Amino acid sequence: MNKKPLIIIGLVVFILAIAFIAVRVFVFSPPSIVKLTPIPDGEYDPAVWGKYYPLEYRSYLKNREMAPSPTGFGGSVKVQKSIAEPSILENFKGMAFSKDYSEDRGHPYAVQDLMETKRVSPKSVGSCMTCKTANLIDIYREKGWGYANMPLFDLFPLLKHPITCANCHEPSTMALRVINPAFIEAMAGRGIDVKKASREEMRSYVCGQCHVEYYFQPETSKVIFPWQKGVKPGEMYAYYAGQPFGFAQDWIHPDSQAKMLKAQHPDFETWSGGVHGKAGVSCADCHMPFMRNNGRKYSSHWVTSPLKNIGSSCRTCHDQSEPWLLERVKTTQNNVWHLQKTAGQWVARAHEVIGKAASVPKTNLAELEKARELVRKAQWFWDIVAAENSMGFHNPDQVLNTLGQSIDLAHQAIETASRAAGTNF
Amino acid sequence: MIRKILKGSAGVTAIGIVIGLVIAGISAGSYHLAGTPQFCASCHSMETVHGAWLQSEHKQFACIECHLPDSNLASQVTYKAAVGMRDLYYETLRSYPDAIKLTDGGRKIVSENCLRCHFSTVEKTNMASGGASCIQCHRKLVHGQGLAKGGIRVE
Repeated sequence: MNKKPLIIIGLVVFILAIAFIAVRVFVFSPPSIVKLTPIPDGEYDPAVWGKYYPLEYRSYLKNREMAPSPTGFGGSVKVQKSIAEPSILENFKGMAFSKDYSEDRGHPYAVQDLMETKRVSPKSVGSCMTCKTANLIDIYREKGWGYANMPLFDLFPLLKHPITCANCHEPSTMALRVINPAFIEAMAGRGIDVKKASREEMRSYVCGQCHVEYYFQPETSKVIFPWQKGVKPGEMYAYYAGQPFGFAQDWIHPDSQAKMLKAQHPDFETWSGGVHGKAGVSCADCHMPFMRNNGRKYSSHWVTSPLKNIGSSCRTCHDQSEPWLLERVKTTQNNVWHLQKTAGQWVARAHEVIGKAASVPKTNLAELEKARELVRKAQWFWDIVAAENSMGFHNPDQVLNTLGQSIDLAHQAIETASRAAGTNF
Repeated sequence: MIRKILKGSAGVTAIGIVIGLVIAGISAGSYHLAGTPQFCASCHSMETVHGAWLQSEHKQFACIECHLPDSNLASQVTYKAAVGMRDLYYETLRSYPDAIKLTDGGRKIVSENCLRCHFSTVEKTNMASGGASCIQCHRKLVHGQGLAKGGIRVE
């Protein structure tokens, strides 16, 4: 038989394959540089930015996903935290977090969730929207801190977009930037000029402008970060003890009558003292790892648990296998969860005991006041961990220490209240 | 005249030798070329590790001095052909992982190559008793964090 055509076909296929490989690998290799397309100032719609930065935008859209996290802690499903930790209802009695304290969803839902939460009321102030929207840029430019004291509901019509590209990116250069004036002022208070920050520092500052502990200044409602004495739980507590600007408490607990503080998601502070933070690993290194699409490298804008992409996040530095790394994180988080639940329960018990001691006739009021101060501190040390988003992973040793102090302080509060009342509760 | 030579069996042998030499020359040349860092870096996926190596304390050594097994030429050629085909597959499809890591086999090869120079440092220690991997601790020695300095460039 004539085998010539077969040989020729084979040869053609071979040459075509070689040519295809050569073209893919050597001629049209994936680009290493992103072409800059400036976006007009004041454009906050991510879809407009997304036309020119499609990979980043496509990954940003994944923030809409509502799913549990791989370890079971955190996640982006709107579920009441008090289901897993019922002491939340006891410890936040008399304030809004006992009414509604749900797990937070992704950045695209920030405005919607602000409008829907039962924590806001017609009395809520404008500062509540500081970290929820890119429209903050125009609002602050126009009104300065004046917006902080406006009724929140009056500002709602201005909140056209949630947290979008403009919150972190300079539209003309795509360089990283921070827009929250409270962060810029707080960093200046620590002697840090964020305008001079390196790119690597900015990869944490953009997150740190919101993922922090804060309070509202009495009278003005201005947002302030309590960092003057430092960012550790004890240092922030010492700052509040000085009653800055006359700020004494967030609310008074109805059972214990203690002047309480509410902690808010101190992710940035917790991370900054942890092993990753100290080693210079930025928020974005783990939460926005470099990924590839068709060989083109891009930063994932799906800001989520690094454990959803262990291969791209952890394994950029760590050589161990994915199951091994996941197991390490789970171990840390399970340990923290155990102590956190314990601390929360003892704090709840302390409120109850102080309430009972107060109703005893001839109770020692000076001692009782000491017990109230102890439960205030105990709850702070529990809440600063419970309100944080990493279940301790951002700084495991510090977090376990903080919870240890909380449990100890709660027991001291119970003991002191018992002594005040002359009985053993 | 030429036809006469071609017709003779000695001629066929001579032509065979010439063709053989040419093939051998091309093979040797391309094997040599494929061992240069420039060749390794011509793949997009190798951009960051190549950049880091250029700044490392081991930049005087070519990629293959650490990444090819420390053995005879035949097994080196076999190894290079096998992993080369694998690399070519992923490079063409652009489906390589975001963070490229050594395989267990590749890790062992690198570690053994460390000892080619550094054996005297560890020979009287517990580490020489076997099983220890140099790069478990010295993993950032050559390729650093594997991150491009300054991240993704925007221009």
